[in-house]
Amino acid sequence: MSDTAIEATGLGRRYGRRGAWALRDCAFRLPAGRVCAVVGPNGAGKSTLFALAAGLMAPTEGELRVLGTSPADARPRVGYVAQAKPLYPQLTVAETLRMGADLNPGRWDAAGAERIVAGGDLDPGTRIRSLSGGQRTRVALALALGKRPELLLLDEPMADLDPLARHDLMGVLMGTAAEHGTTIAMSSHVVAEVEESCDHLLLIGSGRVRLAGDIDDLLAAHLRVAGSAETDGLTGHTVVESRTTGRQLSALIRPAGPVSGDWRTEAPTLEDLVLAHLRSPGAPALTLTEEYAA
Amino acid sequence: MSTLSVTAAPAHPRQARWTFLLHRWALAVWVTLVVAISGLLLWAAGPLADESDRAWHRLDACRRLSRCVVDTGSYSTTYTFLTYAMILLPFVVAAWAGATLTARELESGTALMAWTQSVSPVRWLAVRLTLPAVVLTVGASLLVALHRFAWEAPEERTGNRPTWWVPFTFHANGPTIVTACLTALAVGTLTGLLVRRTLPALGVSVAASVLLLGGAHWLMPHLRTSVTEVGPFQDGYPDLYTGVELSHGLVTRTGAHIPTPECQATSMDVCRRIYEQRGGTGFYTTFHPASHFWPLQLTTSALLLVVTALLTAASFVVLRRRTG
Repeated sequence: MSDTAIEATGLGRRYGRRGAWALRDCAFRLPAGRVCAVVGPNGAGKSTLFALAAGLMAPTEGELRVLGTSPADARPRVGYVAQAKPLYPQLTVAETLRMGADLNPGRWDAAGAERIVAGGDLDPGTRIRSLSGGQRTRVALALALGKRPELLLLDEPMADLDPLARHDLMGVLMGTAAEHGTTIAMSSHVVAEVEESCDHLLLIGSGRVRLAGDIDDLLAAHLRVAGSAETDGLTGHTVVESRTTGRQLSALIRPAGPVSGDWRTEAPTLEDLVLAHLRSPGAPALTLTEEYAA
Repeated sequence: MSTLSVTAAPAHPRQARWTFLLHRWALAVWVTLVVAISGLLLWAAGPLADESDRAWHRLDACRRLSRCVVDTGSYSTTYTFLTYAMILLPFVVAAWAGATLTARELESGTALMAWTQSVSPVRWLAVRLTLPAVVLTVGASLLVALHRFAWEAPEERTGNRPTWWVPFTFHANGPTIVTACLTALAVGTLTGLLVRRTLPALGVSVAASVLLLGGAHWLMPHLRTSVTEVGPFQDGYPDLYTGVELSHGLVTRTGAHIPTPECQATSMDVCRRIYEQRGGTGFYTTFHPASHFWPLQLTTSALLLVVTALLTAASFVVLRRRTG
């Protein structure tokens, strides 16, 4: 098994010959076995990245390797749930799962899929068209997990779920990841939604990778500082974002070494990190995956 | 990596079953259409054709006596209706294929869901094309056989049944209508892949197949060498209305074929003088006689099959380029 789940180099995708770039110059590496949060505002290019990784769309430029091979070749080993949770409306829940079994011979986990559906108190005879958004999500997840993928790509999986179902399904996902070593990439524009369950972050803004790496490492690489606006000493460090309120200056920096001067420092939260990078499109991107490459 | 690919290989995904299940309504409609048209064709070939023959015999008998009115029954109306229905089938197929076979699945995203099950996009399209192609071929071939049966049922005489070369009868009597259904399937599939929205794809598919099939019908007489008959003025146009006509007109002294000049005169002699002034020596007709029925049918079908193959190949290229 490859130790890399997804690796992108110079990846770009544009819609139409003269359309805008949905994704450009993306380079990152997602190690296998991680639970990765793909975070970014609406229209950042998250869904495009997932469709590319699932082999549903060819990149305009650059290269993408999934599970050590091309996305098209990796397709049987990848599970994918699109944002709209597309399912055949005319089939019943039971039929949908039976279809999953028929289309994935040799790797279908019927018991696992049924367990996910059963958790939602769903009548197997109900047609998909009469399900609520959250119930659909449950069936879509069952279909994606049932094929026992090595890599699970979930595009905004929790958006339609109530807090209880979200907690329950997150538990199922984490259980699967822990049991089978499945790599999970899930997108969200709500940081809090993914913070507790993910150990890896891919922050995308305006079609570019802004932050990529282990969440703990990323947090450790940044510092929140506050002090008087007259204080010197931030030169030499990378200032991601700084704000001045009256004579008070607060900033998020990537320290190049110990911060000298009269600054109050504290560790940033993940939310701080994400917001600061999204608010300052000019700040340099940071990719912290090199240490895993060995 | 290798261990997992080995365990994942064994049985083939049972995609055919689900393609049938997902399109069970379309299949039911097609079967109903085929059964209904078949039944009506058999009815026309049996009781209706007999009724029509009897009426024409009565007419023959009473012509010798006096003026009379004879009811020829509903063979002709039923036959015409069924022929029209069969000619419309390819366009129904195009509408269905354009709207639901590919476009709707791409619009709603269910195609993407299917591709991330263990069914590659190319396989998905291959099954999606093969199954309807088989169903259409079987159904349309049955209809053609029964249509020929219904067409041949009444005695061959003017007024009783259309001649073999009348366009709709011509196509409903041979394999061109079967291949037209396959072309329509390919047109709809490619349109759906390109347009990716249900309603526009439906419109474009129907329009494109009208153009394509209309074009094939227009090309048909030119796909095979035609026959030219020449005769003197007093015999009129030779073999006019006996086959698929390409042109008729005057033959000049130099042997050239020119359109017949307009002649409003009621006397043939006056017209004849006008024709001779233009250098005319007689009339000609360029046409395909009845012996060309099968050659015309087969060349047109072959042409449509080539078009179908090209459209199908294009569909696969589009899908492969899109999904990598």
